Amino acid sequence: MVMDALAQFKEMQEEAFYSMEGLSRLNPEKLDFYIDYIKFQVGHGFYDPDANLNILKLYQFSPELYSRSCVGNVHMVLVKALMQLPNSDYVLCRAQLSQDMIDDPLTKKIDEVARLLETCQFPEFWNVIQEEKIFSTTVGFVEAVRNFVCVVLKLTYKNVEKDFLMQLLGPMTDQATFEDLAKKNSWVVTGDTVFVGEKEEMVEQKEIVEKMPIDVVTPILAIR
Amino acid sequence: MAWTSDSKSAMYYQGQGGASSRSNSSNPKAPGSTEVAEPVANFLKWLYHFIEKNEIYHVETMYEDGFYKISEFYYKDRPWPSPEEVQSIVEEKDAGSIFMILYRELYYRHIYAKLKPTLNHRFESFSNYCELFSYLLGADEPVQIELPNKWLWDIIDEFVYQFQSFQQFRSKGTKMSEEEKGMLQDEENSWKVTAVLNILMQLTEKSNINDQLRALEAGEPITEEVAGEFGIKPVYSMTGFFSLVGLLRLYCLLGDYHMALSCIKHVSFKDKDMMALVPACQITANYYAGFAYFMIRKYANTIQLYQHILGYMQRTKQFFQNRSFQAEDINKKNDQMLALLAIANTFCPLRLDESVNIQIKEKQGEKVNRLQHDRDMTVYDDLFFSGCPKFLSPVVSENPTPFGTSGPRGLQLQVFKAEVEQQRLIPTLRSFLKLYTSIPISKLAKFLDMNENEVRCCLMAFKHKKEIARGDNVDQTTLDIDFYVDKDMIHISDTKIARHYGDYYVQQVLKLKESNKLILGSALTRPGPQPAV
Repeated sequence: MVMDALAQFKEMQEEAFYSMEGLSRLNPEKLDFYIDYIKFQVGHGFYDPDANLNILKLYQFSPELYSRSCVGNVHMVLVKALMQLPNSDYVLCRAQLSQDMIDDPLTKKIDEVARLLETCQFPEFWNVIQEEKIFSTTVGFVEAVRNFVCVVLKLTYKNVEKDFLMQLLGPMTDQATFEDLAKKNSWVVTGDTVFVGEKEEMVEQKEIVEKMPIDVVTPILAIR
Repeated sequence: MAWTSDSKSAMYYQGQGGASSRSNSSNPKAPGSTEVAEPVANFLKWLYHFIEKNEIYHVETMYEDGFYKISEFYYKDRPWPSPEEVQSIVEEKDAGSIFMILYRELYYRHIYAKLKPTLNHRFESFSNYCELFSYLLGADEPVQIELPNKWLWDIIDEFVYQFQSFQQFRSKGTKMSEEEKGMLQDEENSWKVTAVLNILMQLTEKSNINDQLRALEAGEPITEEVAGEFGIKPVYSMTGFFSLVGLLRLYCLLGDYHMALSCIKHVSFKDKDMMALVPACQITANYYAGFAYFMIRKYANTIQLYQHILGYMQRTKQFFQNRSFQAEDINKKNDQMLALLAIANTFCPLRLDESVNIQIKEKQGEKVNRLQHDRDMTVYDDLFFSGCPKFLSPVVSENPTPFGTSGPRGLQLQVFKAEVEQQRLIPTLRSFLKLYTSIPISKLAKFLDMNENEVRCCLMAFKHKKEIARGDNVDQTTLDIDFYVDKDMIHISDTKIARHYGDYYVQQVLKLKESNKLILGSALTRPGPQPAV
């Protein structure tokens, strides 16, 4: 069953690629295809940034295609983009929204979730996403955010308290998920502390010495 | 008829009145009369001759110098002679010949620059552009004409500018007269965004410019195989390249930074490449590329691009002062980049060149102070508005509010404000961390008046934002602190920058040399005892 989904995705990916060549990406008749495509991505955990952004572009160039009932498509695009953190996909999508789309209550909610993630307020984040179904129905959302948390942890921590770490990673169904995560990120768990990685070289005293390229100095070296 | 650069000036100002006299009284063909002055007619005839003969060097001088000078002297506040008049002056039989198309482009460009274009002018100019581009694109074989790069860039630049101007005109909404609304409905295909995009895209495709750039990146030579039959000719490859920059600009104006950055995927912003052939193109490309990076928060890229181009503009200032249509625009871009650089530097402290620092202090010093010391958040809005381009929406609605919160500019401001909000606590955090080499989280929490978990999140946010701002492939020395957290202790480092006096030292030595030369020079020319040299 999994192979079928992948094969189907690849087929849709290719169709999307060819239909977005040059100006044909603005062809409004293809909108339904892109919408089916993103529904497929949401349901099976795949991602095609170009095609998803193109949905927003079509709404921007042909506003008659957009109505309140279509806002769900916009939400799907935004949530899929959020899963790509720390990459900038969400900002790219956000810059293409119209005021109508922004005013929708769920869009505002998604924006709030984005803010929590960008300011790394993870414990609050796990609470807030319980309030909306879209986060649980998007396949792979929770895993993607956990990956983002691990990336930020790696940047920041040498040793972190296990309690706090569990708060950051959010509710997990069983111990095995945590152990897999620990293995993947090469963490070392000792009692209530988790060792994330060596960080000493980050805080070495660095002195930046001035470098003068030779062509800047030659004018004054030239002797009459 | 020999054409040398001395005879050039004589040609321009020949006729009654003599070489450089500019007084109205002695010259019956001075501005004010409706006849075409003889120097102007000569200019047009020579231009026609050189374009026909593909004498690109002379065309370039006439275009860069002659056209501008004649505009300033004869046509400061009125249009150039109408295309029909010019057609008879140069004895061109075909109204659709390439010379006429090019002349009309110049004619409308002048109107847009010095006068106010009417709606008819706009429509006519658009059809003229369509003719020009189908001349290039519709040909079965590459066209024979060669044009100077500057002219090709100006055509593309003006094309995008006129589209921008048209959208802004349409955004007038209720202020438009009924007649104007009627005309717009009749000519609904004029200046359509899809048409503009289509033309630019086709120009890039015809020349295979992306393949050429890819080859350049890989260090391979550009053969006809890579560039294609059309792309191997400079008129196509340069137009293709300039169209890429045109697309970059257009996408930025529409808020599509993804497509904008994909246009310049293979463009290197180094000094020796295609862009450097036309300074105005280089400045535009750097500005919009830097702006796209700015909006996706990769500040290090923005800072790298802007520093480089601002330094270049400083060094070449004297060349722009009196030339070309774009002198004013270039100064404006300078100021815009400084405003954006000021913002980017607060989010991502990197070492800036002295000359750039001085410029920022001059133009934006007060605002930067308010940002850093008073933490005045409204300054961000001001700086953003000073620095951002004039955003457009692809389709203008029935009741447009171009400057409202939901207009194109307002929407992009919202995106920017989100970032300002997300960065709110970081400067305070940074200033506290700078004071220590290690500090427990509990102590920091007391200083910041937050609970410990909030501080932990803030520390992670700092790291996350810093990592994003680092951008792609940037090699810059950061002035920022760095730290890591070990359970409940924060360990901080500080990068020490040794005093950079080298640049300043070299500048002063060169200045002294110059002064010495001056003094010795004037001493030598004065009567009296000569100094021993």
